[in-house]
Amino acid sequence: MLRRCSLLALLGLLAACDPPGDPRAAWLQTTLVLDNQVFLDTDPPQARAKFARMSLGLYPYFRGTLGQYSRDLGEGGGAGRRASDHVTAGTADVALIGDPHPENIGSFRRADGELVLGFNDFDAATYGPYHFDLRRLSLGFYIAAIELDLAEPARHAEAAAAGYVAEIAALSEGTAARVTDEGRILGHLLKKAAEDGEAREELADYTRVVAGERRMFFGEVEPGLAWEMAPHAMQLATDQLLPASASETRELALLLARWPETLLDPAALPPGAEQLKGLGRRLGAGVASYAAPRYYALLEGPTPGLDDDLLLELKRVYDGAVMPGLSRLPSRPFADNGARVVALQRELQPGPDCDPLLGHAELGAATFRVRDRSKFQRGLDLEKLAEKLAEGDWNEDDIAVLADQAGRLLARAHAGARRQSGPVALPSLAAAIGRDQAGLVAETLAFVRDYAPIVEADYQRFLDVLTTHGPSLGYPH
Amino acid sequence: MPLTTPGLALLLALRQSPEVPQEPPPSPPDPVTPQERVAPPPADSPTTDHSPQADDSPPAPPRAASAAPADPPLSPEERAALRRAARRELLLDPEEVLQNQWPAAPYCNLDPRGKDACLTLDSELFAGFRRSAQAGGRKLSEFALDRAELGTQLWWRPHWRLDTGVATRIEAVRSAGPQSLIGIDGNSLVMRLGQAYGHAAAHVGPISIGLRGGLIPERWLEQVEKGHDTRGVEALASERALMFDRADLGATLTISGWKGRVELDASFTNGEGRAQQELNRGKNTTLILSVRPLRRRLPGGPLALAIHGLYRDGSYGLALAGAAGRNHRVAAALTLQSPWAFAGAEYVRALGFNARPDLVSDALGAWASAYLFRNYLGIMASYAHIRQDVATPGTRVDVVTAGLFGDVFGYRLRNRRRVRLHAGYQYEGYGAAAGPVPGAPEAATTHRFMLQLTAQGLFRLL
Repeated sequence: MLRRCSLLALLGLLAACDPPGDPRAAWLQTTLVLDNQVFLDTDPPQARAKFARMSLGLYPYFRGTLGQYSRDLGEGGGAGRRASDHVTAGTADVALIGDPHPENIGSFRRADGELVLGFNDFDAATYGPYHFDLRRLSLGFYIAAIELDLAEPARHAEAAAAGYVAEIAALSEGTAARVTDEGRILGHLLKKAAEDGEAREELADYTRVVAGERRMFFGEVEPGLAWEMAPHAMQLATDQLLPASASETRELALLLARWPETLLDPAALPPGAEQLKGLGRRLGAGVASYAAPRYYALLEGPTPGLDDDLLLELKRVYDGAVMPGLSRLPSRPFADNGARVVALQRELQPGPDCDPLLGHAELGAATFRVRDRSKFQRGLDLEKLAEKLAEGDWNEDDIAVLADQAGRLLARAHAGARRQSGPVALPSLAAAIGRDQAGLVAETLAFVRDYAPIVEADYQRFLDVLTTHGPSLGYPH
Repeated sequence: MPLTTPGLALLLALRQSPEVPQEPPPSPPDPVTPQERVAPPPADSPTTDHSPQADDSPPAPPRAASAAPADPPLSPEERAALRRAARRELLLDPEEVLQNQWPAAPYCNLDPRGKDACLTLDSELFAGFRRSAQAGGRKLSEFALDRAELGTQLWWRPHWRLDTGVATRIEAVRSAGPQSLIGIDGNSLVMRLGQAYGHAAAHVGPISIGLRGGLIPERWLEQVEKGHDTRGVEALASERALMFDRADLGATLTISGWKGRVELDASFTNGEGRAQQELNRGKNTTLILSVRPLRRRLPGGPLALAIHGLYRDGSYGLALAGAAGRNHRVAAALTLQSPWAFAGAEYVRALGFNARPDLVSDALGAWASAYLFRNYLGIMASYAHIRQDVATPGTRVDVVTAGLFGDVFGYRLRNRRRVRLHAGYQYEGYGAAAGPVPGAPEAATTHRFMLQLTAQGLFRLL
């Protein structure tokens, strides 16, 4: 009896003992290192720069922590593990953007020249339950509203969810209106895209005409930032091109030779485009993919003239959003990440030809997505939104309209794409949401209200870890 | 070629028999079985004893039965051939041993007087065909390779009280993770080091003290799987839930008494497992106590009842303010092995899991397998109940597996070669708040029909 009591007491003691310190901070530090270990091992300066970039604000931190969001939603003990009453087996394998948020919305010019709106970052695209995307989008608007110092962050999170469910209903009933340039913000985005695209502004930014030839420009297109978090400091690139090394040039030439095979229509590639006129490594782009190798390639255009050259972006792509424990049949629906990103981009955008030069190429285990760097492709930028709000050009109502439209764009993307099991998702989505549209909106908003404060607190934890351990986050190697 | 025990007994009998004349006998000797040459061990003896003796002097070879001197003499060639054949035998008595007996005894029949060595090669393969179905019209048929391993063990006995050796094991893994697309040449199966360690065992009376160092096997799985005969179709619940990795970098000290009746393991490892380097200064410290109160030698194989308990003080991940996140384990298991049936139960509680120091998760597993038609046709069933988060109701995952299996070679030869085919069904169900999609358990619920092959072989090369 005494032995039994002793054993029970020991087990009780073990079960009761609490982990020391802040377990959430320990988890955050470890998972951020694990998610970025590939960069910390292969390109430590860029990995450190990525963490520094994430520290610049709550929104950049949010953008760099998709892995933490995924774990929180799907893993046992996850802080965002809030059950959904509106997900069914038929909506658990929907094609997902993976990381939809306000700054991943942008413009595209289709093969026929039409400018359209859609999501523009498919690095995390995958198959999974649709509410993973919906919650991420709503959360993104909430976080953006905080960053923009808006009065009612929840209003915009709710607008995004409401736009989503309304659009699913409208699509299901066949009454959906097309999302084009409604609202001032997206209207402005399209207008600027048309202007800058026509002006070939990308050539002005990243190339120069020297001695009658167009060449890559190497240097800072935008001045870098001096990042400091005492006692740690570094120079942070924001928009900079570096010359490609000899080995990089050889590898990129191979990639560019293989990429045309993956174009939707190989005829979209003008004759003469096989002539590579310049290569440079781009630094300072993105947040989640800040440390990923990214290159710009200057190709000969349709004519020998200097004004119709092509500028492509080649970006190495890594694994998408990991949803812990999610069983997919098959588990590996794509051969590699390049194929995944391109296939799902074509599936999820308003048309498969939103970027006629979109393709991918592989070099061993490294896969690259290739896209047109044209300024017809223009994305929303929170800094520009802040400027416009500060100047009084836009107001909080415009942000709410934007959130509604973003929700509708997401709904269109989901509904029109095929699920992993084959059928188009719209009927399943409509059935899952059913008549309880308000219920899904309320459920999404409740999640955002619960989880956004955790993200805010995590951001402070992240800053504490940065201060204590520096921009390697204590990674020992 | 003689089998394990008889061959070994023959070798020992030959060692103490007088030298014979050089001339061949006038007529071939009558066949004599090893059992006739050597007195059988006592019925309650835990093992055929080829490990060093308890006293201070090198062991004397066992006495031959009284009939042995009357046997016709053998030629030197015959003696040499028999000696070579016997040396190829493994110390894997079908009546006694299921898994390795380290540190009590080596795999091989090393010369009990010392100055002897052996080299073994073993291989293990789990492969199968399965058809999975999930709600929402999601179905998939696929062939899968769950395990392909090749291992080698070099044993050297420098002194009759000391066994040493080196073990290496390579295993096939998918080069991309479960949800990853970054692999080698797509998602090739590649070989990696699964285990690699040096080991030594000293024998003092009834006690053996063993030490392993390197990429060492997880002792909990090694011990509990001695009472789990259907690993080829389903892992232990704790392994399925990833509460234990099969190997880790570190060292294990094992004290084994009375041929494994009582064993105490103390392990000191990184805690990050096979696929990750050390991320913090803390080390996992694990204590495992195994007691086998019932252990009998039976003609068809051993009967053993084992009780295991574990406590692990573990850490995982980066050290925040000097302390890495906790990753403790408390576990208990009860296993039964016999020639007719295997059964067991296991409970593991994880205090800190998935890099979340504050998460408490647990796993309860039970299994049973029995022969319907000895020793070739059997039935198996297992159940695993995993709570992803003990603090949150409805986070359970239940896995039920049931099936039939057939052996090609029979149970007595299981240690040396096994070809087993399973045909079964598996149900994987999720609680309302469990799984990757909380609130939609049907999204992850899976029904699976399986045809699974287990193939194992063990050979002595030297």
